[in-house]
Amino acid sequence: MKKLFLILLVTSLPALALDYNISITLNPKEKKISGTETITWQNTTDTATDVLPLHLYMNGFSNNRSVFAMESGGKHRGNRMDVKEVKGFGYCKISALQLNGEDAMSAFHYISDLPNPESLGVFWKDEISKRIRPDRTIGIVRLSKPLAPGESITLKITFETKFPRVFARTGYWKSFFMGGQWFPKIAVFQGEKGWNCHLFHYRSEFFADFAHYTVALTVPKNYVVGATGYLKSETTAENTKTLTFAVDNVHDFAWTAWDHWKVATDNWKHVKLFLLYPPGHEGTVQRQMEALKAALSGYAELCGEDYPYKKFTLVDPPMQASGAGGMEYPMLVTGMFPSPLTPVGVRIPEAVIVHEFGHNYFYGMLASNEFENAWMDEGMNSFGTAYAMERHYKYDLDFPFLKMDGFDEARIGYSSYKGPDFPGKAAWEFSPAGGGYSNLSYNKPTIYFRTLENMLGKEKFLQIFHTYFAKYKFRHPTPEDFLGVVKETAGDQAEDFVRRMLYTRDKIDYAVTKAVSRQTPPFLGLKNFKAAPVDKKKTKDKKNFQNTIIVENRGDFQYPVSIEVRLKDGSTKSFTWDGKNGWHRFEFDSTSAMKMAIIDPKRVYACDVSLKNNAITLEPQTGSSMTKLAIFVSQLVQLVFNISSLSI
Amino acid sequence: MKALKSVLKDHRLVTILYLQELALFLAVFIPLTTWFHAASSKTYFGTFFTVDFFPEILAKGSGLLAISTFLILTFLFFFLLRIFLMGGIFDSLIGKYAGFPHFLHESAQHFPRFLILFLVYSIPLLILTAIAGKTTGSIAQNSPNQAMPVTMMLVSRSIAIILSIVFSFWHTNARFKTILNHKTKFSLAIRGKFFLGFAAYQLASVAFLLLFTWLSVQFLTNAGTGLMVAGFLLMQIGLYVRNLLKLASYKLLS
Repeated sequence: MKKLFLILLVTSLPALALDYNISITLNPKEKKISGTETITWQNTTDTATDVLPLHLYMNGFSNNRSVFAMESGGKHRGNRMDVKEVKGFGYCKISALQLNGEDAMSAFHYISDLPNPESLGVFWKDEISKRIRPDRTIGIVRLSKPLAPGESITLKITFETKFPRVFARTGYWKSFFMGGQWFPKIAVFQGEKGWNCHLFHYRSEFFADFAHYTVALTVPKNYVVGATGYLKSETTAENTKTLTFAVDNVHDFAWTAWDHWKVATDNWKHVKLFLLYPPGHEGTVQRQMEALKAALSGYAELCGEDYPYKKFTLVDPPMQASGAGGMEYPMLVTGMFPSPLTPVGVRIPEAVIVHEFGHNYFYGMLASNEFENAWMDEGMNSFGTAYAMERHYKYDLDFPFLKMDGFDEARIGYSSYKGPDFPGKAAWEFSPAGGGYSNLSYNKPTIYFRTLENMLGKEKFLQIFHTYFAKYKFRHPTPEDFLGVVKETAGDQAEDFVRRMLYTRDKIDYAVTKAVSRQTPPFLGLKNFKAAPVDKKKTKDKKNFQNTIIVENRGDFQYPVSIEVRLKDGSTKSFTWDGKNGWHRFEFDSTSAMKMAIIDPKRVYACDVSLKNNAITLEPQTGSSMTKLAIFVSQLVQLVFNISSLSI
Repeated sequence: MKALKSVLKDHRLVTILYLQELALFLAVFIPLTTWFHAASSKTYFGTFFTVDFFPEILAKGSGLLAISTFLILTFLFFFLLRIFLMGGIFDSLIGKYAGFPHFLHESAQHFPRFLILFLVYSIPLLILTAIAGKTTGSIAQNSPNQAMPVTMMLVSRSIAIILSIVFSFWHTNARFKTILNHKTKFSLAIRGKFFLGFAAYQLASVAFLLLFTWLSVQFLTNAGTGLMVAGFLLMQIGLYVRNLLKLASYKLLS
């Protein structure tokens, strides 16, 4: 117990061992910020290091040959990199660097300027191809002597960041700025395992240590600013103002500044909520705040603890800067409200807000490594999103004729995936074809966790997440940490289920392959070796039916499953099958014909890849819906024909 | 109102146009409903109509491609058929309906010229509409006010409707001239009184169509077979009246 306590204490030390003190000035005309940054870092491991890697993510936007640009093809969620003009690109340039007060600029190099960067062991050897040059998303500071365990070092960096025209999370549009990944950020040192530092990839996001941040941001006087942390002071000069934010225990710092922002505020328990929205979105404020509160409540229930900070900022970027939308940072996220006309039944904007807020748990506080285990934040958080949305709204799409919740979306997405990958891979290891990354990092964990919830029951399932959060908040949990909690809380089968979800392509697919209901024929032939009398009036016993059902397990998991039979007289009959030996036949007699046979009627196995084969219907009930659908489509064609032939 | 009464009196022309609409409906509805019923009836979706039906049945394999190709080809065929029928309709509007064989003969005779007229008037209409769309889009794109895209969308649609009416007016005049002269003739003249009457009928026809489509959708998206039938009938009534008003606008220029 004592040993465990010491391990916990040591592993939580990095949160106290890193300090950023940044002072920058925004130049809206040049789309730049410039300033100084002082990083104080303590080596809390038992291993010395002679390099300090810095993430310089903004250099991913500096040309069309960076890892990010090459992997993304200059596109991100439908937005394109602006390569027509130089001002469309961005960068983060270090112009001076001091180590413990002494000039050390000569010890600093951008990764791709080094002759053999792989030999440093800073990033994985297979995450870069030789044709990608130059990529300056990592900077290396070589120390003149190794920094021993327990020692601290102070880096004073003078830097300039030019924002790209926003298309992927960060950048500018006219006078709007979204500052994400804008400053040199030190990588995570893991002792014997070395530095955990990766190039900026298209599909992965970020991983950093918890730190104390103090950020002073100087902007034109008419700008409105939203940021991570708490506003500590605001001073004004002739044309500018300087806002200083500070906060403990976050692993990133983001801000936004715009001279058109409008601000709405609200409260949830101890949390002051800020919404920064563009003019014209006044009508969406209530929806956005409701979604944010739904998220706060939903994740508190899922993880067992309320959001601990006293402030949260939701940014609703203008559509012209939609590339900045749908992104998470500690205490500040960006949502996306495509139009003030978005129907109330289309809750996609709400789902984005809930999802991005949720990252303050799965990424913010449970700071897993997004580069290497995207499912730990995107997958768990996508489950959290569907959970919170269902809890508050029930459906994401809510029309009388079409209803869909987050679990439906996840199952549809996951079951469409036919590729070779599985979730337990580093982000850049997924095949670029077939939507593997999104389906496996987001959708598969979502629908498998829903299945686990159904299998274990809500109480036991929530116990897993409560334990996981309590044990690993403000730390860097690994997949094994989570699997350990699952095993400890819910047993071997649950752990095996999650492990196979992560590291195999094993799927669940139960099917009803035969369902026949026949009237019992009259007895013919010999009875006790003598001809049986034939009652011609009773050629068939119309009140008795012989029913046969054959079910199959076409998947890889052998779990027990229930089968339900519905008869024409309204009665039902249930069976259970252990799911073993591939298939099973059920036979029974009844006084009414069978109407349908369904396997897993309660959809316990929510991740079943095919619903179509889960039942055989002998008496269709949905004919009217099918006819309506056909009428609807046909009339739509009529309407389009009429509109397009207006001038004929 | 005189033009409307005249068209109503000789309602066979409206009926011909409406029958084409109905044929389009049936050409799409019959294969679709057969497919939907066949694909769902014995399965899970024969008992539960859920959103999963769309990806599991419709989007599986080449289902979506097949349906898209079928719809595009059907659409194209009916588009050409509409241009074809207009030859007989315009001939009848100038004189009077003289039986279906004569109608078909006139349709066939004027089809190549009408096709040329359609292309000649459609291309500048499309270009101008695109320019209007691009300009309003650019204004919306540069405004920080997020209500601006909505405003610009309304402006863009209004411009498109006005342009459609203007070009339709020229197109209609050209078709009358073409029939009377037995050779392709163009028109770019606007005669105020006739134009306003024409525009009023055209706008009324579109408004009527949209209103009935909306009503139809309200019925169709709610449960019940009765409402389904009502939804279908409402849409068809809307189409019939829309064609009636459209022909009245043409009659005004005959």
